[in-house]
Amino acid sequence: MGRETAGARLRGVLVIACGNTLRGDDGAGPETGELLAAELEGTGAEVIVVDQLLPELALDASRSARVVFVDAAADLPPGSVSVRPVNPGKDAPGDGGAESPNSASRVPGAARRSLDPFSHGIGPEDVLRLARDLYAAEPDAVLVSVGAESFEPGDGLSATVRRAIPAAVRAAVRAAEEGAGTASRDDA
Amino acid sequence: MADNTIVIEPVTRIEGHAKITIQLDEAGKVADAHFHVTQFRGFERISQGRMLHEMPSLMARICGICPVSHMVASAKACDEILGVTVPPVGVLLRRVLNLAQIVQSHSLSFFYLSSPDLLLGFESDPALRNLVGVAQQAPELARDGVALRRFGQRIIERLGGKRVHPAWVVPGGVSRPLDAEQRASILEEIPDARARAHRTLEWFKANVATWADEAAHLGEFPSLHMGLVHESGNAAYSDGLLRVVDGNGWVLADGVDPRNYWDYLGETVEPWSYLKSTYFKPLGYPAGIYRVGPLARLNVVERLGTPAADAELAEYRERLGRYPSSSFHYHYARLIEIVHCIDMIDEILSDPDILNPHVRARAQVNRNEGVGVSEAPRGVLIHHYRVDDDGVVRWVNLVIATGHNNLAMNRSVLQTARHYVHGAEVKEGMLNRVEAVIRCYDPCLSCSTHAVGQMPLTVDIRDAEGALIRQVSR
Repeated sequence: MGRETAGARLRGVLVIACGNTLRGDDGAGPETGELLAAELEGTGAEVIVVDQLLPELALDASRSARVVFVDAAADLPPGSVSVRPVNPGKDAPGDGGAESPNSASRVPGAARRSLDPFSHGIGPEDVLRLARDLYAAEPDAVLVSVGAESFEPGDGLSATVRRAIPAAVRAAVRAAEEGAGTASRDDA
Repeated sequence: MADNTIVIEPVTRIEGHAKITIQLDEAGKVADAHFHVTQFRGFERISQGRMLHEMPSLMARICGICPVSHMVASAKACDEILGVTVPPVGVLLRRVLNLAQIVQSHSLSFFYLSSPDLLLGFESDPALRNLVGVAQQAPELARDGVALRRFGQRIIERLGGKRVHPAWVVPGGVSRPLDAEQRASILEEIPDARARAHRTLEWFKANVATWADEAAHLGEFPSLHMGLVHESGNAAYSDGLLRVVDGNGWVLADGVDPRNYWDYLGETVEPWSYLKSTYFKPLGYPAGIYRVGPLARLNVVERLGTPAADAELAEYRERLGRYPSSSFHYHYARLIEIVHCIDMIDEILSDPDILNPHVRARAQVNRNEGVGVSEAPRGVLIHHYRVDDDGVVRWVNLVIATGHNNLAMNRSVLQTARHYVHGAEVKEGMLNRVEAVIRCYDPCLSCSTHAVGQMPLTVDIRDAEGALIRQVSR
């Protein structure tokens, strides 16, 4: 995938890569995001790398036609890469979280739902929900997940996850170009 | 024997993890209550053996919400060890970063963590008592909160290179000057941010009578107040000297060089919490209880120093008295500070000299000890280091804003529990108010315990025998 030197073929695409680089494989999101920022330079796509998803990202999402979230996942085989569509959470907070096992957060399942209770463990569906509720925007969205081996405190990815990063980058670029697609798995 | 213990766990909508225990007596009335911080982080120990130049970046890792505060205080301690004078523009740029941090942190605290209670009610359905509920009932309020937090975060990102843990603040100044494009883009966003801040303040003032009962019982007690003050009497968030006043305005300490903090502040450890309790030494422990942060800052200063914020401050004092003592008023003070910080950012960046390229002084170790103090969003933050002649850190003491408030938070929890919690009839709204008083202080527990991992905050209610009768976990 080469760099675009002219045009903005991916204008309107927003990549949000999140994770804590001091919690082992939770750094897969930021690692992938930094590579994507270089890969997508000049394409018009915007890449945001953050430690965690927070409500203010809803404003960025609302201004995009397509959002690609990138995160590590606790519930996928280590080193695997998964892509699935993400929708805004439903009316009752918690439905999005319960239906979408897509977060690497270590917060217990009940607390992962919709901005409750910690307000520092929201998921992609909550960002999309706020984009819809506050800005009447419903961008297409997918989540690229990298199966993690360990979330123990420490700087650096496991060898298994490090090997998966190129696949995660490829999957995110495809997702950026193709939009929200059907779920797929790619074991790195 | 019936259990008489109520546990709230985790305490919700705060940064970090802690536990509240409420002890009932045999009549079912609240006899005692404690706020326990169950995180342990140990940054004071981790820092030993590190090189001095690493410290600002390392200290920023204490917290993802207020890394800038730690970077600024750390860099100032390093400045002293190097024996440098930071170039004036370097001082101003650090100040802008700190002000932006306060805007984003206060916005998170007010809009994301506390507005659900204020707007939807303390008794409202907990499933909706969050930003989603606010978005549904008052979308403009929610949008203002999102925009203000984003405004602060974007300044941090532009100056520091990233939103969280920016590495721009260094010993001796900042690592690179501001460019014209960055300056213009920040100035362009100020009118919108200012309008949103004022709109929110007007909303709050229009509704403040709604919360009269909470204001009377969520941390309403006399205490000392401490903050940094400029020699002019204006607020000083990045520099200034320490001032301590009592609830009547008597000045108990003034013009204190932060290097001498140990002459005035003592720290002690209680067995039920990893959070150290700090107290005003001349009055001893626990009589030397004091508060820091927005409420305290507005009490210790004569004025903030920008016209619109000073007008709001005048109205605040007219409504609440010159030295408000209820912790509930942290919310009001926080909103005034947002207005002030935005105006200060505008004032500093409007001077074209802010583009001066001289932003850093360089030197080797010239002293073996340094203290750096700044006002974090939550209050006075102190970094105190000792190094050897090679610049290897040998000793660190961190006195964190939330630690200053520990005694006050505990007293607040006890007062609130006594007013709202009654025997076996423990309703959701009662417990939410006990949590809500903690939210007034906007504690940063990751900072204050310097935490690895997530350890939930629970509220335990215990009987006269100490047996657990109820535990609330969410």
